[in-house]
Amino acid sequence: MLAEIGLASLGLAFLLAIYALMAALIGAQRPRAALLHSGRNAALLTFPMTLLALLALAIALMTEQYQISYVWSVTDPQTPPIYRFTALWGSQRGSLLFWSLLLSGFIFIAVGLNWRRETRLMPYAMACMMATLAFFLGLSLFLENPFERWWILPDLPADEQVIEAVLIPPRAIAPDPDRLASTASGLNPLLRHFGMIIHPPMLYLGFVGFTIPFAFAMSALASGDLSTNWIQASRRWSLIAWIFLSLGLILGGRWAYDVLGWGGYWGWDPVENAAFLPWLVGTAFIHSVMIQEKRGMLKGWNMALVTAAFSAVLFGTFATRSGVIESVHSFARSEVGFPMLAFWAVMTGLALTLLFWRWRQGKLRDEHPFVNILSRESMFVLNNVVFIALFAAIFWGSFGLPIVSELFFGKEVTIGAATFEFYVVPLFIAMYILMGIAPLSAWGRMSAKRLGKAIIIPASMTLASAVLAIALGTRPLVAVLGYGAALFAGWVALYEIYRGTKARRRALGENSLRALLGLFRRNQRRYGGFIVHLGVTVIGIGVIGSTIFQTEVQHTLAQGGRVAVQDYELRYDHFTRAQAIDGRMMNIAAVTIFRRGQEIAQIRPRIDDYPDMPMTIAGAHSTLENDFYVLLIAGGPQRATFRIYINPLVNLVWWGGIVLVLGTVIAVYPKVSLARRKPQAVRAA
Amino acid sequence: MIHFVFRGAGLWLLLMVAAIAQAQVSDNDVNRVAQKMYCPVCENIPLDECHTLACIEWKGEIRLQLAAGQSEQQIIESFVRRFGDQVVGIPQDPVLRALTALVPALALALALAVGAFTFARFGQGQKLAVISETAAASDAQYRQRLEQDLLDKR
Repeated sequence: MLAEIGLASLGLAFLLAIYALMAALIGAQRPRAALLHSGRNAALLTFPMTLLALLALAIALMTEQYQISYVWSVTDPQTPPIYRFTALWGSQRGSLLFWSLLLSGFIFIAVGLNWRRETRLMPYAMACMMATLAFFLGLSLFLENPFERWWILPDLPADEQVIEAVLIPPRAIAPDPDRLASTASGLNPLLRHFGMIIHPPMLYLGFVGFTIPFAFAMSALASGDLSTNWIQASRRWSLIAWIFLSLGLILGGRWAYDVLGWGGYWGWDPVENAAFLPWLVGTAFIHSVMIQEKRGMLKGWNMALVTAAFSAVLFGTFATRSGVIESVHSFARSEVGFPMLAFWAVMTGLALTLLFWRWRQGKLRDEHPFVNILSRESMFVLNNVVFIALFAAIFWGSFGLPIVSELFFGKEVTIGAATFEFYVVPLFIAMYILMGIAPLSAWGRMSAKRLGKAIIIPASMTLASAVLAIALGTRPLVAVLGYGAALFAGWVALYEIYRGTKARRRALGENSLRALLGLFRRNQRRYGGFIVHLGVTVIGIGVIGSTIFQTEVQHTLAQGGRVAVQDYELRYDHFTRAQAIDGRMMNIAAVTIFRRGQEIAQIRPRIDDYPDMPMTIAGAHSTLENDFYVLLIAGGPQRATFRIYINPLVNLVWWGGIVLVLGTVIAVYPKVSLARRKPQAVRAA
Repeated sequence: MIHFVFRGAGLWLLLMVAAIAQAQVSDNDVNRVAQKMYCPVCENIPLDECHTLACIEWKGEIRLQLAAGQSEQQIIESFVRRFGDQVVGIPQDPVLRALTALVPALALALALAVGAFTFARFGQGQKLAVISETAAASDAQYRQRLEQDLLDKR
């Protein structure tokens, strides 16, 4: 019954999306309010229909309906309830439906909020959103249906009797439920982690979120309303997509650090890079779009960036789900590859055609000329150059070169971390320097003298920090340069907040705390942005510390044996073999960590034995200074081999992520509270 | 018979030397080479971090080659000869290696050219600009700019 409900809801959602698409397109061409309203209602209904389909699948997972082959493939009777739920996105079919649900949810809110305000933009925007939703629902319905069930056809030869089918085949009988339960596959061990509860939804929210600004941009191009309306309608969506993508990337890093057992969090894996690419273009867009808002400039460029962000999302989805690249993250090879590639090509081609058409018409001309190379808009253009170069370099290493190599040279190649670091380190240093200079510059015009005066204090603080780092023994030069660039951006953010607070104290006679809060309340976007910059600075310091200064050693110890690493010492205490509630066997080594002779922690690195793969789960002693991170490579009661990492400052990566999210929330959060407080603020002023 | 005993003793001596040399190769020495190579089974996973059977065998082979006195580069080259470019993180083919570095450099040049094209419109803009060099970047001026930002925001 659940399969029938899910299938019917999914089919209905698909038909509604197609109807809304057609109604929006026809209604936009020949304005007919009734047709447009009907289309809008259909678009809004796609969300409850998709939700119903997903709920049917969720209930099937929770109630162990193993006849549904998706349930059979991602759970088994030992799977704990929490992982039954996360199994919704544990494999291709469920995750595609989950993707559609998130997209329909975003569309529901975007259409609901903007319908009255953006009457000219909405029909085409809705058409674009519905085309995307219909495509993903179509994939779920026709190619990767999560409601397929196992059937037995007794009339066929024994080895062909068991089939998967959406509808009941003639003369088919259902398999024995106990037999299905005993043969169920269970969730991929890599996904049995707390991080997997939240990492994929965050990443998907980031991915699908870029559909909304893209749809408004396409609508502006199609309708000819090339004012800033599309930006106002989509600015907050861009930031929301960006914050979720950022969270998804950070949580993904944390998951890799905890689960993949290699002492790191970012391996320049193609699927990681596929998620990073839209983030890079999205970051360029949310900066560049400010130039259009403030100065009416870079209209065509912003259209190109939002198109690139959406296109990168589609390409990343294709790369992850088609099987074109192999990775610990990618889904198995499937039939969705070609349709996804075709959809990516059609949407990107259509967007570029519209863009070129409006460009030729001269409708994307700047309203103001650039007046000064030191102006803030110039800095933002340079920042865009850096982001696009990063995008191109990472895309080339992840996808371009491997594909070219295989197609034209007949060779499979692997592009490793060292190669990526060769490209990206100088570009990231440039990015941090621009992150520091741009906020000190003014819109429109800026003299070198004025910029120089504004820079002198944060630059001096940076220099002092760099000298201190060198005095404390920081080497090599690239580390000092990296720390310097990251700290410069951080000092500028702190200095600007300090200057703003000081200015308010003098002008309004407020105390420091009130002045600080008032500053953030009056210009959330600017000062929220500074908090984001601080977060990125903290992440940068964490990345430099944990990458350049990581220590890694491997030792085999007898029980009671000790090994010294820097000023730490590890003692192998004992070995235990135990069974977890989900049936896996765990090989656990108990070790004690000492620092300068004092016992500081007892940790238990382990190897979990799953039927298909062993998983190495690290034990770590974490402080803000570093992680003492231990992997059990092999072991038994007598002897065990450990790989020990000291990862300096690694926890700053996660803390920086929290600061970044906090800053984005401040920047996005609400004009509502501002409006409520306005009368008081005016009175106070 | 004596000849046979001598040959046996020689072989035993050779094996002992190999075993001692192999024992002197530490896990860290093996990992130092392995971290520059990639798993033959799981694409994109560095060899030192992979725990599959194939990787364990490869690491054993690296240990033997180190014990035999081969350099890191010789070991990597021997694996590339047998298994292809995918076992290392940088293509060994000179054309592919050049492309690896050249294309990102070209992308940067292109991005800079787009930026330069944007800045090229400065000529016209400069005429319109009136930049007051006399205004000092004092607190008062900053306050004015800040308040202007705040007014714009309203």
